[in-house]
Parts: sequence; structure tokens; C-alpha cells
Amino acid sequence: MSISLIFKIAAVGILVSVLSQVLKHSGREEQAFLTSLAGLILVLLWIIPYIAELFETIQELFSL
Amino acid sequence: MDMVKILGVVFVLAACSMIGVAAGERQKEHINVLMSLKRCLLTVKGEIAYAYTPLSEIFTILSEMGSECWSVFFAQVLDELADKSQEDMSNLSQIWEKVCRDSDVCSNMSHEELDELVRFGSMLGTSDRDSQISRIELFIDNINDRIHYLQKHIYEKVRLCRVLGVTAGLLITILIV
Repeated sequence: MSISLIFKIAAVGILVSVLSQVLKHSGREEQAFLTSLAGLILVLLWIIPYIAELFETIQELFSL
Repeated sequence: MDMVKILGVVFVLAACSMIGVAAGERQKEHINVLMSLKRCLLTVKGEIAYAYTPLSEIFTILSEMGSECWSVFFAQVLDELADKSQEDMSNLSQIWEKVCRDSDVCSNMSHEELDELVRFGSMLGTSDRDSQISRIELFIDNINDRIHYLQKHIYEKVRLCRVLGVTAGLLITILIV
């Protein structure tokens, strides 16, 4: 896992929050919610392989 | 390779920002189209009310008003009318609807506005002078309301389009880098 992933997640978080605020201010709460949801799903897609790898490592480590 | 990446990022950001700006300009153009339509309708109303001008001559006058973006629309209506063997006004509503759906200037209007314009065209030449004038005045009032609403919210919409363009560019940049 490289350090650039953390910066990517931070950048996506900032962008999603800015976009969400702009859409809410324009009266489009549904689009703001969908934007937040899309950002969350995107970050999860990046993170899930590493979480799976973590659980496999723990499993191997403790011979479970 | 880094230089290529940087260039790609710059191009993506520039393209998405320009798309956002173009979307904002399109919002402004929508208002201009409605204001131009209002001016054309005032001309129609004046010609019918005071000069008793026939519809075909009114369309000719409007098609020669080079300063209005609707002149092309009325020129297309005249061309379609001239294609028929006789100037049969019972076909005018069909021709009007066809030109409304195909014309470039109408692509700047919303579906509701376009439907209202089609309904307006269906009444042209079908009733007496006073009814036509009343109907034109009603349509002009509706357009005025719509213009006031759009002018009230134009700043927010243009800012939203620009911000969406830039943030979409940034998001794509993050995904591809």
C-alpha cells in the first residue's frame, strides 16, 4: 500500500464535501446525497482489497 | 512520463472546466432565447391587432429580422408552408410542431416551454382576432414569468455549472493518476 492512496482518499473526501455543499446550497439535496454516496463507494472500492489482505494476514499469523 | 502525466492532467482539467463554463453560458443563452421570443410575439401581436396582417406576411417579417435568433425558425416555417401545393393553414399546426422539434433555437428551451410553444402554434390562424390577441398576451405573460424566474436563479446555476465542471475534472484526474 503506497502513501499516494492516502492522499487520493483525502482529495476525494475534500472534493466530495465541496461538491455536496455546493449542491445543498443550490437546493439539490438528493444530488448532494448521491455524490457523497458515490465518493464513499469509490473509496471503499480502493480500501476493500487491503482490508481483505489484512484479514488473510491475521488468519495466517494466528493459524486460524 | 511525468511530463506526459502532467499534460494529461492539465488537458482533462481544462476540458472539464470548459464544459462547465459552456453549460453556464447555455443557461444565459436560455434567457436570451426567451427574451427574443417575447419580442417576436410582441411583433405578431402588434401586426394582428393594428395592421390586420396575414400570418404568412407576419412570418416573412419575422424571418427577415436578422437581429433575432428566431428569424431562422420563422424562415423554416415559411419554407415548409411554401413546400405545400396550397397555403393551407390547417397544416400550420403540424408544420409548427415539426419545426419546433427540429429547430436549433428550440433546443435551448425546456420541455414545458417547448410544449407551450407547440400549443401556441396550434391556435394560430384558427380563431378570431381578439382570441388570438388574448392567447398571445397570455403566452407573453407566461414567458415573462419564466424569464423573471430564470434571472433570479441564473447566478446560482452558472456558479453550480462551473464548480461541477472543475470538480469533475479534479475527480477524473485523481482517478487516472
